[in-house]
Parts: sequence; C-alpha cells; structure tokens
Amino acid sequence: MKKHIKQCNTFGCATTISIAPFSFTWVIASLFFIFAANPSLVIGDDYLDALSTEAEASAHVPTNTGNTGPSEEQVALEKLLQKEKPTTFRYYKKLNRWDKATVVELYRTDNADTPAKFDHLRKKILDLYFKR
Amino acid sequence: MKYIDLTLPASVVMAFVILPVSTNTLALEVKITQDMASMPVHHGDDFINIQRIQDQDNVLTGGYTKTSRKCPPFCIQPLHVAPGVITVAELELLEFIDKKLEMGSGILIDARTPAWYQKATIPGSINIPFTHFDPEKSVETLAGVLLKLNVHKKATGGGSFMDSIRNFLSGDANAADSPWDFSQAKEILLYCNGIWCGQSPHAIKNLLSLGYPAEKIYYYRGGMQAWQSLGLTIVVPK
Repeated sequence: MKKHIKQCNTFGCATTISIAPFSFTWVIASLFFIFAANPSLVIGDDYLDALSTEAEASAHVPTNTGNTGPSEEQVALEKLLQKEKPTTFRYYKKLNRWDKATVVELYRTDNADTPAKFDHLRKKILDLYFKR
Repeated sequence: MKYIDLTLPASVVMAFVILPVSTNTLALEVKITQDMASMPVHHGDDFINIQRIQDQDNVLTGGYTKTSRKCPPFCIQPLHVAPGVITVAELELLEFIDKKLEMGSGILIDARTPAWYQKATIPGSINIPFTHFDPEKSVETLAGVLLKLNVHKKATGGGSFMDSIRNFLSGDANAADSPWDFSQAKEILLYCNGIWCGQSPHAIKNLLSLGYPAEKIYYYRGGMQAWQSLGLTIVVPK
C-alpha cells in the first residue's frame, strides 16, 4: 500500500511516497493476537505432567453411567405390549435395537388416544419388521 | 344356563384403567427438554440411551465439584476458541449426535488424555488425545489420526508423503501448501473437561494450523463438568 505524503517548508513542497507494508503489518497483528491468547501452541511436558497429576487427584465417581440395555421406558412398553398385544410383541421382539428405540419414541410422542396409539404402534412395528 | 361372556368387556375396562396409569409410568420426570426425554446413540458396538439422572436429590461428587485449580495451566477458556469455530452447548451436542454422528458425517471427539478419558466419557465419543494433533510430537501419529477424520493426503509430485509433511511443517503454515486434502473432512465436535480445560482448545488450534476448515469444527466448551452437572448419561470405557 502506498501512501503519498506532501511536505512543505521554506523552500517549497515535495511529495514523498511511503510504502506501508500492509501485509506485513497484518501478519504482525495476527501473530500478536494468536500468541496473546495462547502463548504457545506447542504442548510442553510441564502441561502434560500437570494434567496427569490432576487426573490422579480427581477421585472421580461416575454417576449415571450409560447402560447398554433398554431404557425404563422401553422395558415398561415391552411389558405393556406383551400383555395387551402379544402378537404384535412377537414381531417387536425380532426388531433390532434401533428399530425398537424408534417404536419407543413413537409411543412416547404420539398424542393420539390409547386405542389409536396402539394401532399406530402396531403399524410401525410391522413396517419395521417387514422392511428388514 | 346362559353364560354371559365378560371377557371382552373386562379386557376393555382393563385397557382403559391400566393403560393410562401405565402411560404415566413411561414419562420421565426429569427430561432433557420439554419434548425430549432421551436420545439413543451408538457407542462402539453398544447402544446407549442418553437421558438425565431422575433422582432430584442427586449431587455431583469427585473432581468436578472443585472450583479452583492452578492457572496456568488450568485457566478459564474463552467462549470463542478461534475465528470460524462454533462453540456449542448440550442441546447442540445432542443435535450433532442425532443429525451428524449417527448419519456418519460427524465425529464426537473426547480430546483428553487417556487418564481422563478412562474415568468416563460422553456416549458416542471416540478418544483422540489432543497430543495426537500436535505436529511437534509425531508426524506418523498425525497422519493416522487425520485419516480417522477422513482427511487424505494430496497427491505429491515426487518424494515420499512423509517428506512432504516434514517440509510443510518446517516452513510457514499456509493452508494452501498443506499436504492434506480436507475436502471430504468430517465435521468434528471436540470437548474436554470443561471451561477450565485447555486440551480441546489445544487440539482445535493445532487442527486449524494444519488447515482443517474452521467451519467443520465445533467446540463444546462446557465439557464433562457441564455435561455431568446436568445429570446426563456418561459411559466408562471398557
């Protein structure tokens, strides 16, 4: 970027051209902000040691660890299906985990009255079963 | 003698009595949002239902109850880790799981060291310690890690691929000269312990320096501490 500077003195005026290294200035500014925010992108051993020490010191008691089995909702729904719609339940049992989760979600979100709800459920289960 | 078949009427009555009561038992009292009680997610070969702890007297225990750690190194992290990187919270993370992770276009990354990861992690995560993204550590490790993110090496004119990486890393970090092809890179959501944790910010900044597109990176600043403070499901790696 060129900057024209007009200077005048007793002897007259002259124009000088100052070339401002715009890109250089931008690089310097960006480097400043990068390093001001985080002095080093390089990971030092001191930091790793501190992490390790803190991990050991943090006696962690996990709660609500995810179970790999069905949710409470799913268990309750399965009992209901087994009792009220045993034929449909037989098809339901053959679905994979994901399709079962879809069925549970449908039952949870369906606002239809109870008999219609079961009809929707039955249709969904059979659709999922026969699409395999 | 006439028999009155009461089976059908009895079953109808039972249906109207049992089902409404049973429906109430399906509703979780502590939901995630008004419309979302849980969310299923693949975790390795398993299937996990992310939901919240239902015990309304439950409190946090252990390391995440601490308020203060030495800074440095455990300093409060800024809301925005880098230009173009989107900072998210819990609902956005769940949406990422639903729309990107489960669809195969996204990866949820626990960027902590194994000592932290082994205590517990967010379901659906894979562990890539932030040190693996540091090109100063191991170029070979970096190459393997980037392949997991669907980042491929560009075709080189001559010399080995590792030579091109070393040449690139020893010079100016210019994305245009990067030996990596990020055009098919996955969208990645990184997190670590929480607002005081610098592990995922480190990982993100190093990824950006390698040329990873900022718009494909998400940062869950709240981390494990915020996640657990809401009673959300965690898993202990095997």
